[in-house]
Amino acid sequence: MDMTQAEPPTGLSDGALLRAWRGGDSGAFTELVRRYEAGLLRHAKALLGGNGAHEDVVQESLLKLARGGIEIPADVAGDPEAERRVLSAWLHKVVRNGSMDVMKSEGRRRTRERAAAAPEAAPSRTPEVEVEDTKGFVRAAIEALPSDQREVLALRLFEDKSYREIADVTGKKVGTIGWLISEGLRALSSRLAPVLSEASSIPVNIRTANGGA
Amino acid sequence: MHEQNQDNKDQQNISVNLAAYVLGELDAVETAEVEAALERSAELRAERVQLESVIGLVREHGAEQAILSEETRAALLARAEAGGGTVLSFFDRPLSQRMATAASVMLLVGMAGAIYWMGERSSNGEAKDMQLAWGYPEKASVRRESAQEERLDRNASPPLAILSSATLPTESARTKKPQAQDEAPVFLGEQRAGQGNSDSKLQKQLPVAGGGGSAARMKGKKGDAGLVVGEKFGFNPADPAQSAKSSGGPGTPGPTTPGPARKNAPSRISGRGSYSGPDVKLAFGGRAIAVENSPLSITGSGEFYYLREAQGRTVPGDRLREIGYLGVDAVDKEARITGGVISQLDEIEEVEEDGADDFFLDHGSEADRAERRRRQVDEWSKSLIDSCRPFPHEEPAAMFFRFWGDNPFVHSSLDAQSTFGVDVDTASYTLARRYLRDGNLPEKAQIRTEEFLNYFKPDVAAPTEGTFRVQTELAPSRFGGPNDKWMLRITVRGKDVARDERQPLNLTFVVDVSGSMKQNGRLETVKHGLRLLTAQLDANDSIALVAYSNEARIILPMTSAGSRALIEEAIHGLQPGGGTNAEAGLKMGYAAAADQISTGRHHRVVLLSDGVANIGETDQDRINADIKKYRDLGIYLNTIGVGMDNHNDTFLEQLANKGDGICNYIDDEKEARRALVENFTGAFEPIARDVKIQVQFEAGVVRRYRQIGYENRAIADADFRNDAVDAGEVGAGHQVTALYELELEPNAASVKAALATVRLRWKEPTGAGRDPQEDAATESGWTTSLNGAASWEGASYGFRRAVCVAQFAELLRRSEHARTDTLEDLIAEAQRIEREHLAGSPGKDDDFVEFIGLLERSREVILNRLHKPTPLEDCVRRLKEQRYRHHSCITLQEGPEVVGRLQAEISVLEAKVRELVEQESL
Repeated sequence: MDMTQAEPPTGLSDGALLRAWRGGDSGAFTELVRRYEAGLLRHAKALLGGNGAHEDVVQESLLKLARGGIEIPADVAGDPEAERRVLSAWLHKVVRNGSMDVMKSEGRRRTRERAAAAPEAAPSRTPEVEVEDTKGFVRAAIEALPSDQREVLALRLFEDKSYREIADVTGKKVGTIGWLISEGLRALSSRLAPVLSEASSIPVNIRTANGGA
Repeated sequence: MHEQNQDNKDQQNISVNLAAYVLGELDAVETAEVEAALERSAELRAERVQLESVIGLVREHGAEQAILSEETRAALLARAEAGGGTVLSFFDRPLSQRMATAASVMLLVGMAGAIYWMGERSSNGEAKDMQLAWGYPEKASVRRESAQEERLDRNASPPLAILSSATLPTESARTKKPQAQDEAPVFLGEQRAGQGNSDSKLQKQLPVAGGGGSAARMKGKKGDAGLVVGEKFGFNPADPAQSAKSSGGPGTPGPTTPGPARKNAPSRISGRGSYSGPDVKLAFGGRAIAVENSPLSITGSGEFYYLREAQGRTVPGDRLREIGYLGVDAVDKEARITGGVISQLDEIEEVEEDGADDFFLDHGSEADRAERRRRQVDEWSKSLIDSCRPFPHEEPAAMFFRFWGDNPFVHSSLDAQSTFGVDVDTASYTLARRYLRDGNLPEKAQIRTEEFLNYFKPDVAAPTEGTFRVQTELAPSRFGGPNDKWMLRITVRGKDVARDERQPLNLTFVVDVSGSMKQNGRLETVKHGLRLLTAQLDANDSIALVAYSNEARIILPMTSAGSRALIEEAIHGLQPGGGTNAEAGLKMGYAAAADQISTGRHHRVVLLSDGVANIGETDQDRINADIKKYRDLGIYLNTIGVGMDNHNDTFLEQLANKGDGICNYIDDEKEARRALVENFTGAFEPIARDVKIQVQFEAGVVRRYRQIGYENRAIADADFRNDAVDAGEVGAGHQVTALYELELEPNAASVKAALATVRLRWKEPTGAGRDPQEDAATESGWTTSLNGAASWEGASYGFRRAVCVAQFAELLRRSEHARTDTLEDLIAEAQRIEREHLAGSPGKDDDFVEFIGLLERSREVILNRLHKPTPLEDCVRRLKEQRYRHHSCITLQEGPEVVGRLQAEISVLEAKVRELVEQESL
């Protein structure tokens, strides 16, 4: 499912909207919020879980945008795609920093990592799961990932950010991103085996299989 | 072993790269490597298939369609809006910066005109045959001029506030340029063709250009003009062709037409440009204005922008209450927050265009410039056109009135209960009265309808036994559109306590003697109030006096009120000077009060101040915690506001709320007498506290209801019986009035059930030393039904008076519910009621007579502040109207030809907006 932004109804580029907002058009800001909220929420939720703090973090970052936190650099102004990339990277960075602050201040990181490490009951499902159940199952599997894997996977798979863009947002090396994504997908493969259509015929953990060979 | 490790590592690399390969992240070389490996290994191919299916599965099911919750979104937009204005740390900065930021606040008016010039003015300046309307309530917004500017939350409530305001042509500027007026188009307004005919009353006047102004003038008969709040947007027999043709055809020079004319015309501040004068240079974006030899009044758009106070501390609060104006001090021409008017701008007349964009536009090749201009025009017109659409989740009508401060209609089938805490404050009314008398229009957020209602003397008799008498009255609504609505008035009348029955008082006066109290004789007003008050006391009562500026000191320890000479000496010795450390004052005052605490007496601290705390703990939450602590000991807090310029309405009102006391505003000796002498027992003899009212509407009878006022006194329905939830206090003889506007079900008359049940819950006042938590609350209920419903004319004087007063508050709040009402209509109705009252009663109601005077005064004030829309503004406004109609058409499922016609009109108007933008940006 492609979760990237639909064509905005106003057709204005992000830079134009930003300018309109600074010129007093509150509708422009509403439109910017509409464009970015979903991705930012998913990002924050990947880091913080869905207990409401992620909404606050997103609200604060959008507020930073409203208050003139970023200027579209002159060299990309006018290119809607480039403007989107710049703005999106900036917003995701702000969300990430905000989420980190929350994690630090509330010690959520430890709680979350403990929770992630705990064995979960979910994988003992049967393959005959309904679609709704599949949703829950997939989400539970994502929830169970370590937060660094969860974050990069969310940015790659849901926000369609390239490794390079993710590296930019997270401050990690591109190689690290590749490794985290690979590890995350591997873990997901194993957890999601029961609902993968051809799962039964494929060795679940290839590395183990190789090691045994 | 090493080989093995290397193999494993390669294997791992291939695995990592496989994921990247599947995700399309690899470059050509890496891709070739992976593809070669895939060729070799069936396992790897299987892994690839699995990776692809995991990715597919996760993409399909893992992502949530996340959107912000309604609440968060609303909060975000509100905060962004607040930040959209400029919040400056004004006094921290060098003058030049202050001027720059001041200007940046001023320029926001581009889109924020509050009141429109709707008609003509005769040469002597007397209002004649004109229509006034609130219009263009788009949020004012400000360009960021400086990265240093601090923006505070809308929720924050620091002691100083600045108002973003519409700048309006001044009297002298207007009268000096009569031609400009005559040439300008007359704008859409509503013509009140006759009394009592609501259809013709709302008939629209088409905009006409050029000489058409006189046509509009001829249509209106003298004395028949209306002050219209907003418009009624229905389908009117307006001829769109005429409207399109008539507005802004070529050769419609308006006073704000760009170009040479601008320098001579009264105009508005907006956009970019700069002011320069001998000592000042104000830079801001967009179009600038020249003001020649006349004071420049700034008032009106209703949006507030907060300042940090001098110390740079922000003060979280929970309400938007401040009123503030950007002004220029008459003496040193320093832009600062002051009361109301920018004066002495007479030397400022030069207008420069030096905005960045304009500068930019003047450079580069001809083709570049043309291209840049085209883009600028594109964006500007686009953003204007976009602003003519309703926001997501916005009622389309609301886009004209983007002010969310009014209670909405509530469907009783969804929520049949309305619960609120009582309020007996009156400060909002007296403050608004002071503003109007001074020729300023109060801000809408400053108007608290309930305080308007409570200012007036009780009309319901005091209970003969018990603490309260509750009375309800129902009659058809006189205002607010088509007359199919009803008005329910609930009055809660507290018992009277005779002076000689009251308990002895221990009063501790905490008097602000800071430097700001020197202005306009504020301290003298306070001293006068103190003398009046002590004259009400006798030897059983005691008073203490604490003065504070930078620090607090005890001027008079608790002393019997019989010791007049001693008291007078202490009052006389008060001298202003220094900062405002309200916290120190309150702390010492409370300490003095607590020191002498005893049973059988009422203890009360009375804070007299202009309300601007700037030293010490200015965090209201912290101060509130102290207040609550002492309140639980049985020490109440009253606040009395004095002075105008930076009177901090919120601060004092909040303090009194927390302290279970009353907030008064006294602006002169007469008001001091009224607040302190006439309402003495009301102010100092509490009869009940935490008084809550819950109204339960019968869903089968009442379809929708709307409470008028008490917006910030609402209590969750479930908390009605939660005695830990704080509510309002009532003093002896107070009357609390609540109004509900109702829409009844069509068959309401045939339903036997009661229309509403009113429940009242309260606690006995705290005595000293009693634990307030132990007090049980008392509750009683009353029902009301349609049977008692009278006609409007048949309703009681008090009922009709209350409705008129509430209506005035609604108008001043620019309430969308009052959009179809005129101020003239209200004036006429109020006069009629007053005449009838006088005919049937021995004495006249001075307060109401004064109120009518205030209505007339407000009309003058509004007339003096008319802003004439530019052709562009007019066009944007008409575009909004058509959009609104379009929206209604869709909702009403009108035929395709109607929708098509509207769409065509919208296209025409959008093209027109673009054309005008192009003209303006030339």
